[in-house]
Amino acid sequence: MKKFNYILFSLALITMLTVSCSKWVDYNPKEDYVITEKEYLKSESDYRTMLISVYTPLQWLNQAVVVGEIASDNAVSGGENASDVLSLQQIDDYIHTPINSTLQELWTSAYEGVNRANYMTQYKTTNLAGTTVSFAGKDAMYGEVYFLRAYYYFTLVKFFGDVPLFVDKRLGLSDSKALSRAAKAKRKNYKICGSSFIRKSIAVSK
Amino acid sequence: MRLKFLLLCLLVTIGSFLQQARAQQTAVSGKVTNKTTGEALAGASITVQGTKSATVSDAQGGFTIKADKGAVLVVTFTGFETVRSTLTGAATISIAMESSANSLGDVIVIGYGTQKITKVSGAISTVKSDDIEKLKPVRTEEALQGRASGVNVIQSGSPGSKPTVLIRGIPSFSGTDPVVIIDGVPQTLTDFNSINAADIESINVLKDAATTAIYGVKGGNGVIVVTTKNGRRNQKTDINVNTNFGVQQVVNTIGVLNASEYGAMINEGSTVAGGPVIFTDLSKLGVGTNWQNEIFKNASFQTHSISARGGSDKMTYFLSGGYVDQGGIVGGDSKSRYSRGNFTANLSFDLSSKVKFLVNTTAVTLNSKGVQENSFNSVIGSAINFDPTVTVNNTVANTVGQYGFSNLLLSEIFKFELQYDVLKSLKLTTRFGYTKYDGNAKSFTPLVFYGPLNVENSMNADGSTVSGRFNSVGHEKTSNFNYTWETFGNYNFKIKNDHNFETVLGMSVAKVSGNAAGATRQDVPFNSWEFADFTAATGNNSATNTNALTGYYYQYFRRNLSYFTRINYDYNDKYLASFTARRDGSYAFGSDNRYEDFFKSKIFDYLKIRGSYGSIGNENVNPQYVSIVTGGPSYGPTANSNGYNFGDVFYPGSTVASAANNALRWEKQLQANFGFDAAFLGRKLNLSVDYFQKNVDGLLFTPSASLYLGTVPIPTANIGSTKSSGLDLSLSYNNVFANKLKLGSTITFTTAKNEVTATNNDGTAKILGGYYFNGQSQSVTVFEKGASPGYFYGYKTMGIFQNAAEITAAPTQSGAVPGDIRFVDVNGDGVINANDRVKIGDPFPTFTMGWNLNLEYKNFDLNVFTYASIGNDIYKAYERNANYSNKSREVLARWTGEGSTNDSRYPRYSFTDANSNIRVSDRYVEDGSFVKIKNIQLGYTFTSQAVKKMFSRLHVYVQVRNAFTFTKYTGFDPEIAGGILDTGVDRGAYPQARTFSVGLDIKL
Repeated sequence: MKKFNYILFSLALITMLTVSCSKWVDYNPKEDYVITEKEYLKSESDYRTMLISVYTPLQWLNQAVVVGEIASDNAVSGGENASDVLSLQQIDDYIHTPINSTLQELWTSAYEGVNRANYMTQYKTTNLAGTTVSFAGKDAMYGEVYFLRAYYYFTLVKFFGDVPLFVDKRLGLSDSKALSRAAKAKRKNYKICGSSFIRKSIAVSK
Repeated sequence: MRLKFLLLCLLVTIGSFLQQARAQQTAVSGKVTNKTTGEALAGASITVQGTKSATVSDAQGGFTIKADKGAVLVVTFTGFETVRSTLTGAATISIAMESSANSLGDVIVIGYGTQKITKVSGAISTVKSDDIEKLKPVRTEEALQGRASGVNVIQSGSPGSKPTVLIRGIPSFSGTDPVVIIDGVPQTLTDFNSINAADIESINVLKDAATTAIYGVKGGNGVIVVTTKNGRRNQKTDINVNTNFGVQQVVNTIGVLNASEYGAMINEGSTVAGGPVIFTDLSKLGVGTNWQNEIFKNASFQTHSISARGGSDKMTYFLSGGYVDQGGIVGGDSKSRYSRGNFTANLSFDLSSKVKFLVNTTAVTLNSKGVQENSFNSVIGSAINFDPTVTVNNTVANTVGQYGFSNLLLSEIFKFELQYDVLKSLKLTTRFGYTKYDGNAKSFTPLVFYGPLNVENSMNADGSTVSGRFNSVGHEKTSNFNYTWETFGNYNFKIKNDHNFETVLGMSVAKVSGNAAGATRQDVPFNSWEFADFTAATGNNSATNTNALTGYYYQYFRRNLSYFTRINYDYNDKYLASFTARRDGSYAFGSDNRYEDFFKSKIFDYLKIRGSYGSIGNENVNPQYVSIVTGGPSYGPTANSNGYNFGDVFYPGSTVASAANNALRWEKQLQANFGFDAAFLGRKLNLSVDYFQKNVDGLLFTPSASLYLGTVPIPTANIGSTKSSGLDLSLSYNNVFANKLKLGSTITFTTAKNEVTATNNDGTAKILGGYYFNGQSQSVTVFEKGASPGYFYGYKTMGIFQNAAEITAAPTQSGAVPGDIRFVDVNGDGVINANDRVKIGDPFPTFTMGWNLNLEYKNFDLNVFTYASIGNDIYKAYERNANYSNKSREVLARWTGEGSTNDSRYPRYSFTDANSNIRVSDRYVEDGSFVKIKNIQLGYTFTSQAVKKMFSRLHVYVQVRNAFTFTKYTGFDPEIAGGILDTGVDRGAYPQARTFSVGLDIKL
């Protein structure tokens, strides 16, 4: 019986350790000093700093000007050799296909701008934690967000014609391959709507 | 939880069936000796079969034990055949033990326990200390190459560098390293660097699910179990001294042009392209500089170790100190070298008759100095491509890019173990193992003058600095602390004498943590090594230069928690069944998948036929969260910063920088193994064969996603899978002829076939690798669906265009002129473009073989080890192809006119190449199959009386490592290590050296 007691005792000990240790594998991103979206958008400066990054994709769209020039007879490309800036050479010769790195970059950059603007409009009234952060000039600031989003869509329409339209949130993997091209009419409505809001918001801040 | 309760019940029920034997007993005493030498064997274990009586022989080999008349005495000792002696009633008995030449009497260390090899029903390969000691390896993996079937080791020549180790095929494109367990403490393959090979008792490689399942998430890529030497109870101190000195030289160099030939080729290249003659007087050029001769220098090699081993009744010890120093043949001892000092103490103390305390500790200091290797501007790559007309002295430092210098590492590997014997068959162990590692590294980038026209010059010909260029020194301090704390119980018991059970139940807690801090500074005084230190450098940041003084810091950690159990059952030592289960938890997984269950069950084991099937896994994921990043400039997936310039001022912005996949889980692997062990010819010939099939599921891949999601990196998902199957075979023959010549020969054969069966949802994902630059940025290897992992991907060639008519008749190949390579239109669309790329080679061997031969005659001993790898291809990526870089001698066979040659390896030479003859194609692929004689050692043991008075063993030997290489490959060395996507791509990889050495082994 003594033996039996020993066995039971050791098994009980192991079971006890088992149960108390499961907290060991719980993880909080703060342990890696990472700022996550749950911690953000809690103050005016958070909102304003995020606004600046909505401007950033404008820089990435620099090739928009170049593509226009190359496609016309204002400029030619491919100076070094046959494989120099291949994507622009193809546009120059009008032999480009959907697999074109410059066009892909324009598409992705413009949509990143749209996504960043959408992220801000999604949390306009309340942030992720559910609280409302109000500050002077918030509406004027959102005027900028709406304008930028309209500009990104304008660029996309200019290059690609009918494009997928989404305005409520930043998209994630589950939205992949779910959208299709939106008719021009629908888009025009949205743009007009956006610019009227801008006029209104500018009037408010004056 | 259900699982745990089930097992608890099982154990408790079985426990109540225990029996105890009681009978009349008399005392028997005796002596245990070595049959061949007559030496007393201390520490032999003597038990009475069927009872609990047991004792150990003392320093004189004597013992006393109580037993019945007619009982069977079982005497065992490691390395000797077990002796069974039926007691006749005599008061004294003499036991003579024969050393076992074969391995069937051995005990193997498996996860959380030991088992006799005959009882193991999984696939395990073993390498013993004798074989390891004969090789004198710098890194222990070298001892596994060709000696353990199922293990593929690809070495590099750089001193102390980590080889590629693959156990049973390639399951993924990264994270394929097996885990290394040193004395029960899990470590990584990198830690293998710090073990003194002379401390190792045996290495067991666990290959199939049956044996690795108990390691759960870590066992996916195989487990290498290393056991270090222990002391011996009641034994006089055994002192061993080993010393070895040698010299290394390069085996092969690559044929390149000398100065005159180079001048002629440059002139041709330029004029064919319509340019001027560059070298107007070729006769002045002569032979020029052979850069490879300048960089390859003979280097020294030495290894020394001393060890003491013994014990008393209550304590045992093994102490050893070792030193290894290997110079590098590139640059000689002063430029690249690896040295390591070890001190090991393995102690065990019997605190009471029931409690044992074990301490295994190793302290290591590593010092390595290196040159940049196997990359675009590596030293070797530069030597092959450098202009031979430049004399050595004009370019001050023939060293390109960054040096590695003074890498001082201090590493301690510790293990504390406490074993408590609760009942005779129940043992509780708690084991705490930690590795503490501190590294200190410095690197120096000097101002260099490479040549008059070189754009990389940071120094002008007269010694002044090119404006806007700086030298810099960088420091980095890294430290990490990994620990594992495991507590488990072993309980062994029998039912009715024939049914044996061995059970293990336990839990393990692990944490890996580390950090690194670094700083760099420009303007090192006098542009010299002597002052290359942050404290001496004087750079300061200014508005135009923000790189003068920089710093960084990062930290990381991982946490794991696991529970495991194993039950081994055998009936009469003939039939075995086993069940293992493990539950692993990691901090990295979302709450959906925090724990994963691993299990394995063996079907049967009969007459040493075994089969097993199991599920194991691989943990190589990180925690998922949606993070916000602020500031810039940062150069993420799209160029430019994360902010904006308003006016002329940069304002940082913040945005979402990562997405989370909360359904992330382990990579899971299902492995089936079937094999057998057989012995023939009176146990002289032993054969062991295993066939395995592995299916890995849940490989992490980035799913292809619509581009309108933006630029935030798509999180990886468990969508990929691979399949591997293969055969491991090991055949060994041991015999003694006419009592004089002793022969031992072991052959291992390993083959594996791999296929990637799924990548992302539509199978289009391609992971590219093997990047190199030869005028254009190229990538050679691919990991994609439907092919073997990491194969070479490029164009197929079919000869050379001899004239313009051929070009017009062939599929459209833009830019082609007569003399250019003709590429194959694989998809038949009439155009040669990126869609015509196919598989042009496979860097992984079809099979590898190892042959270890040992001969002993009188006092002489000979060991020859040969290793062969057949079917591996190599891609030559070392030629830079710039206008003025040197060329390989092959260019002399180039196409010079219609009909001169039709070999696509030798197209016309010109400065301009509109056809892109330099694109990735089979012209650069060569067969890298090789047979290498890796070790030849001839030794003599002194046995004269005079010598015997001073030493108990004195052995001298001469040794040649990498004696001969038989291969068709024209580069330095056909063995090129790298990750899965870099293996076989030769950018000027560090070749292995041939080492001649002499050595001495003394046992006091």
